[in-house]
Amino acid sequence: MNQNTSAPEPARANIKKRGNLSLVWLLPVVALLIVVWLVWKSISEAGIVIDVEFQNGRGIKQGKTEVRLNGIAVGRVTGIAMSDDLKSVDVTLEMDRRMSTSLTDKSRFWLVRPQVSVAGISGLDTLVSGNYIAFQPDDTGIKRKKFIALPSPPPLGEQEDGLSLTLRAKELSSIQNGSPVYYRRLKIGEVSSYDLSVDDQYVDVEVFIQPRFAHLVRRNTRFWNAGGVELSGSLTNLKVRTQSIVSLVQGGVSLYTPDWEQEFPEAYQGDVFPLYRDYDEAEAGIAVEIDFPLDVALGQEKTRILFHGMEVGLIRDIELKDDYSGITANAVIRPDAVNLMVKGARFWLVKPSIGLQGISGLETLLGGRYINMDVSNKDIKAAVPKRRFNGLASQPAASPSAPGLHLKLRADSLAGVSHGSPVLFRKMQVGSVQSHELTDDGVLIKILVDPAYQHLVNHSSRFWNVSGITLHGGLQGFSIKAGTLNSMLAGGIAFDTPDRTSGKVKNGTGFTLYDSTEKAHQFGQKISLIFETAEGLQVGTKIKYKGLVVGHLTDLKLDKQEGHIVADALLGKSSGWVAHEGSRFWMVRPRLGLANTANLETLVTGQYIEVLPGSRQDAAAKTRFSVEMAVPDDLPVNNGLRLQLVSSQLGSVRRGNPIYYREIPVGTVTGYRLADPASHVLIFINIEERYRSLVTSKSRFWNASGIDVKFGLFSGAKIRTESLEALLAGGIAFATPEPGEPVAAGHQFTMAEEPESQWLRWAPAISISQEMSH
Amino acid sequence: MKTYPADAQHWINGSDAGLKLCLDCHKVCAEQTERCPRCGARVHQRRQNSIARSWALTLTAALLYIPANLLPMMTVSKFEEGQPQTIFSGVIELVNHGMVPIALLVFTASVVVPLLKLLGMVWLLICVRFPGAAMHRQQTLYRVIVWIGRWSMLDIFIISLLVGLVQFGQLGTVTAGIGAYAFASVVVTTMLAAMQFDPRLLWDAAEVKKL
Repeated sequence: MNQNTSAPEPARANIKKRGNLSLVWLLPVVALLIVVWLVWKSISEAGIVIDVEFQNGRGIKQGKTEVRLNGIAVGRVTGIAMSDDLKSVDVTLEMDRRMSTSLTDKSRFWLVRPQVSVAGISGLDTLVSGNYIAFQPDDTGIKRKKFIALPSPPPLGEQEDGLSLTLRAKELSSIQNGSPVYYRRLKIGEVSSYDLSVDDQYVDVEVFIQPRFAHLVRRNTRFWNAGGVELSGSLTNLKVRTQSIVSLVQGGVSLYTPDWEQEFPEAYQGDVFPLYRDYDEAEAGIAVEIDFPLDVALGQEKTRILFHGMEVGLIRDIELKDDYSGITANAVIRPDAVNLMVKGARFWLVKPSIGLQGISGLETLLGGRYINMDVSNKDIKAAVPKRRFNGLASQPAASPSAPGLHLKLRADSLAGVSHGSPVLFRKMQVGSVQSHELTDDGVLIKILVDPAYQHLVNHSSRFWNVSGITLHGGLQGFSIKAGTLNSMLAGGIAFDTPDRTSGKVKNGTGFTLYDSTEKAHQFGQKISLIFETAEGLQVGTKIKYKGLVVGHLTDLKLDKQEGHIVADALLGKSSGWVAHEGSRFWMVRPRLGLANTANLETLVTGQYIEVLPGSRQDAAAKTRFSVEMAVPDDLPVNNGLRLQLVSSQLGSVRRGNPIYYREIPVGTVTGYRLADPASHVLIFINIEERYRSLVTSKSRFWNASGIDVKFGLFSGAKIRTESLEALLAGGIAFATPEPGEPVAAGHQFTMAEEPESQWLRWAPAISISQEMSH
Repeated sequence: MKTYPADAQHWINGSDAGLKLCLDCHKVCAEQTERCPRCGARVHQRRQNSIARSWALTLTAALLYIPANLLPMMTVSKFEEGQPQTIFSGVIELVNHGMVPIALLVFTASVVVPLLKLLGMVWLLICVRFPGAAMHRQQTLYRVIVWIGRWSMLDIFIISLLVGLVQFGQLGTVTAGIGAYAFASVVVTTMLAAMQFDPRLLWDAAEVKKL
């Protein structure tokens, strides 16, 4: 249509023959535009022609075989020709123009063919669609147009976007190319290749994890060999594990990331992981070394490590130290027990043993021996990580963290107490001995009182050894003491708490372990006794008052400066009153003599110390006394009358000689002494109390020793002596002319050599019963 | 020239006789008639702008002929493996499969015929522009072109049949390519070009030549 013709001039119809440009000409214009666009498009999208050299052209079809990237065709074979040397095939490819930046010298081509193996079928799609050429682009290299194809497909991980990892195993086991990698029994990847490690010490297994599962692998992920059937455990706990039938045949790898460590970063391409032999090995994560002494027979691998009965780890292998000084056990500790692997943790082997305390570790007979570990709360809090420990051959003392009351007892000797010996309270076991060790001056025994009974111990508690049988006794009788049968055999410690209100004790408080219950219960007063010589003395020598034991010696020491013996003595609970000013102590020893045998019982029971308390009740207390080595001369043996005789000569008078009245012994000579000045001799005698009235100020004493032989021509010989004993041992006789006032103690008489004849005729009627009634 | 009898000189134009022809039903109408009394179509002495329109459509067809042959007509996929086929690659494939007669048929119908139609149209239009002696031959050419035009849709017909019938999912599908649209456009535009060409112009050209 002509626009101009549609507007005719009103004046005249002048039809102009103008450029007859019709709308129809739009059509070729549009067509031209379309064509131009199509041509431009086809030119811009025309492929890039490259040459790839293959080792063989099997399955490559010209115009048909595709080049694929991630399964998408990005090119096509446009030509195949033999290379000039007839050794390879030159394949001309037309690649998608979008690949232009990816065709570099790092890009790779390889032929994908169907492969059927035990590990599975790969490249199945090529059965239908024919072989194809896989293309792996790499933008980083230098652009080029000629390539050499890989002889075989590269490892899976390199083909695709997934995660390639190296697993380092000690042995290949049943793993093969294409073995699956499982996560929770779901296949997430596969083994792409394996080879010996560079140092030939391990097998490096390359695995490929599919991209969508790559996040499952973290730096702490554990891999283990899941191939075949795995039997593990012990008689009590047998486990059979297999991942799948496929893995049974062709092997496999399983992986697992412990939940408690999920915050670990994801693994990177090419990370190296250990490949554990089995699940158990993989499960326990933290490597710990425990050094055991040689004599610990660990015996087997897979020894469990228990912490309060919970399995926290496993001994993976055992090796001898380089210097053969011990065994190093390589253990793996469950990661959730990592907090226990701190400084202070202790490990010891538990093995079955049958002892007096019963059978222990019986469970190890079935479950195998295991290693117990222990660590105190304090150490856990301190949290000083440690990865190498010293193992013990036997159970150590309970850790300070163990519940209960931990006490230290000091003793001179172990005396039957051993590890595990019971601690008894009223013959009931309330605890046990944890350990014992030598110290500089004895033995340190650590005991643990059970929590339920720890209130029984306070500062007043006394501990004593009840081990074995204690036999006390002598001629005066025996006493046999034993704790329980158990403590008798295995040793034991008993304690008592006299004062329940005494202050509570803290952990680690030290006590003295007494040898016996007696020693433990001596609460009396301590005094020191000084001896000239320790002859016949020993710890335990008794102190007696009137034949009653009031104390004993607890210690004997030599005072080097003074040169005498200082003995510590303990007075009985209610005998403290003897330690006063004026009290006198002396040794009582057996005395054997022709005329004077005394204290024979001390031959059997041992010497003892006699004490005579001071007569004044209000005397000041005193704790240091000198002990006389013999009975003091001037002391009454009993409550008799003490007198002194003055003589020019001692004659045959000896201590213990009898004093005769009418040839009846009424007293004894208790001692004698050279008077000062030494002009005469003082003889101490003691008249028995009931004969006290026989002595008056007019009494006459004479020496009755020897034999008085009188010869007369017609009367013959007269032999007179007081007694045979007096004849042998000598003696003193006295006579009193008439009854009178008894003399005071200490009265001095002069002793005559011989009696006057009238003295022998004196026969006063002195009542002795009256005197006794006083 | 010589082949035609001398009585050709006695030809009388419709316009000379005061008549015009309805090109739709071929009724001869009076010169003043606007519309065909029989079929109601508009009746012209000569089609207006016939030459220009024919030229435009022919040119369009010629342009579209290029993509129609270069671009894939259809994609036949077997097992997801599909290769877009241009007309010519299809012919080559047929030859490769030993079906030479069919290949020839396809080649003729799809390549040669449209090309000849285009060339024929161009020839006719040139003849009208530059009148020559034997214009009656061009008349025959025109008839051939119009007649053969209806058969040019054979390819498109087959493609549309295939696309409609062969949809077996992953096993095999046929999809039409952009070349098919271009090819269809070529066919349609050549037919339109032939229709827009007023064969009476050949007579006028012959008249001019004679004069």
